[in-house]
Amino acid sequence: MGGGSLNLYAVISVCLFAVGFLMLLLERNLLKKILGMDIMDASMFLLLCSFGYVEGRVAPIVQAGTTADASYYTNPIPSGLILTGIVVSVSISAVLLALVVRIYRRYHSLDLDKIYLYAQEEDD
Amino acid sequence: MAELAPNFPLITILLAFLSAALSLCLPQRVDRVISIVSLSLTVAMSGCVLWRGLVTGEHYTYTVGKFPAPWGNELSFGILEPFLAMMLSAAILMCLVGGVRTLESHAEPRKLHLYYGMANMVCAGVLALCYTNDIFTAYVFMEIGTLASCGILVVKENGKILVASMRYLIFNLVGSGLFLLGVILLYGITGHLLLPQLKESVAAIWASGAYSQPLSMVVTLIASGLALKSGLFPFHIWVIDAHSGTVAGSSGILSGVVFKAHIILLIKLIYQVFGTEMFYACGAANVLLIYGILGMMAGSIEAIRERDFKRMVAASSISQIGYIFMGIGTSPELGVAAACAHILAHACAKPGMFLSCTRLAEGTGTMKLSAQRGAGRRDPVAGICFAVNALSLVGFPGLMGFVSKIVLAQAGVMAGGWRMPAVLIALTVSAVLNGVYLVRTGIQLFLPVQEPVPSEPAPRCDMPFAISAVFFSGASLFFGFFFQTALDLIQTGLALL
Repeated sequence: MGGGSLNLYAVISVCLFAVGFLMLLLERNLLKKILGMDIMDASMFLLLCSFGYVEGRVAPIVQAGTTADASYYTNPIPSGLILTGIVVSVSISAVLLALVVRIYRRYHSLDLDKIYLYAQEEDD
Repeated sequence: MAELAPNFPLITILLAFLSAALSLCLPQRVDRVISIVSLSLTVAMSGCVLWRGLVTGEHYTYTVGKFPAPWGNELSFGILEPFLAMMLSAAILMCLVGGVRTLESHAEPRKLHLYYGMANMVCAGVLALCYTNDIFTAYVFMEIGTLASCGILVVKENGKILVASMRYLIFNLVGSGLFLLGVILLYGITGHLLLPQLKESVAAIWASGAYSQPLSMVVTLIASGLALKSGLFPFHIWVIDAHSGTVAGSSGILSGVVFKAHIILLIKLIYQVFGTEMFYACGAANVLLIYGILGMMAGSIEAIRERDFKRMVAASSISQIGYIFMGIGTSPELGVAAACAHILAHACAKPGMFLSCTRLAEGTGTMKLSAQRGAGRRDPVAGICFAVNALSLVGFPGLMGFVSKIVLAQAGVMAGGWRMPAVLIALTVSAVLNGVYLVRTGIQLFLPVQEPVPSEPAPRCDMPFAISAVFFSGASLFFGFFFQTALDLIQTGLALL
């Protein structure tokens, strides 16, 4: 991959990371927080993916009749890492959504500030 | 046994997963027995690995699977890793044993097997963080540990703990995100994921002077991600609600064990990836030192302001985490050794304090701190356990907390420059602040009870709690008296990293 396009991927990834990070931290709506986390994870997978891709090369699958020469293929390790990362990210989203369902059933709101106040009042 | 011992770290991690799976499938009560047996075996096997490390004096690298480095996955261990893994898994075991009555009184019986399953997953995560030699594996197990920690947090079903779990997860995910971004950037710069190869590449790149800013950014991202997950000031606002709202066993595991696993990973990365020279040259250590000192003060002030017994104990964790980060920031050898000693002191003391404060509050019928007067007289085992462990954290001579603080002071003096007055003043002020709330509470527990006489009946004997109370108090006393043994283990272990 040319240096310019790698920089482009890196810039887009960092912008997406910033969007996701700020959504996760600053959004009051719980669903938007979860979306923020997913955007943040996706941005990191994009960055990792761009590190493994080499322009002009093909996916590292050796077929019958072709030589097993590493110089023809892209780096498969980042793809493997991304698959693992996606599994982790999906599991986290599932747990977060399960928590959101339980919180919504209890307080009928998705606003974290309101929910926090309701929880304080409930205890008092 | 010496030939078999290198297999034990992987077996302990697999055993924790197997035990988690069995706990989820098998009927009630069997889950508890399986967890206790599995954790006991983990402690014993970690002890064997430690013994092997002491006998051979080598740092062993174990290849997982058939692909060798630099492509495959590895575990590595010498003395420090099995020692801390043994102590942390013993702490999880004792939290499960001591917290069983509280757990049964707060959780639905049909959900208990889920709790034990999650506790085993936490153990797997902690063990993997201690032993792993691959930075991406560390990330995956960190996430497994985070999700499982959330599972043991929500066992007590009320609104407050649901909200606390949500905040716990959000802050931990921010930390994981920063850590993962650091790992990806590091992979982009070096092209490696295994720690030894990373260390070689990082040292070469740092020496060449190229990529010094990206490398500093990687250190900042990884250190801040792990600091956030460990509850270091100013990322501590989620700690008190999460640790105080749940059952005593979970509070002990989260505070005494899960926090420490992330700090152990940071220490491993400092020694095995960045190298002490680069880490202390790029300024990250100074930031950790300053935030550690601020955390010591902020945690103590928060604890003094608390009027709730368990929330006070939870707030004191913020202060103790500050001590550990101050140690890491002070100097590479003695400072990090002091941090490891304080990890040990806190892992012994805090679960004991959580278990005993819950037990004392059950005796008085309230968590209000003002109502705990004389509670230690009504339940001497819980009272003594709380007092011994609180005194350990204050730094009372003869207890482990005293040793770690003495070594911290020595590290500060040896570091010289502005670090010496900063560390010494912080230690003095923090000792006074710790004394204000911990010694005050310890004394209050044993004051004679005034009228009206508490209406609650005297607490019934709780043998599992007594066993864990004796373990945690005994461990604080043991390491306090045989401190040289603990320090030798830590210092030899750090030299082998």
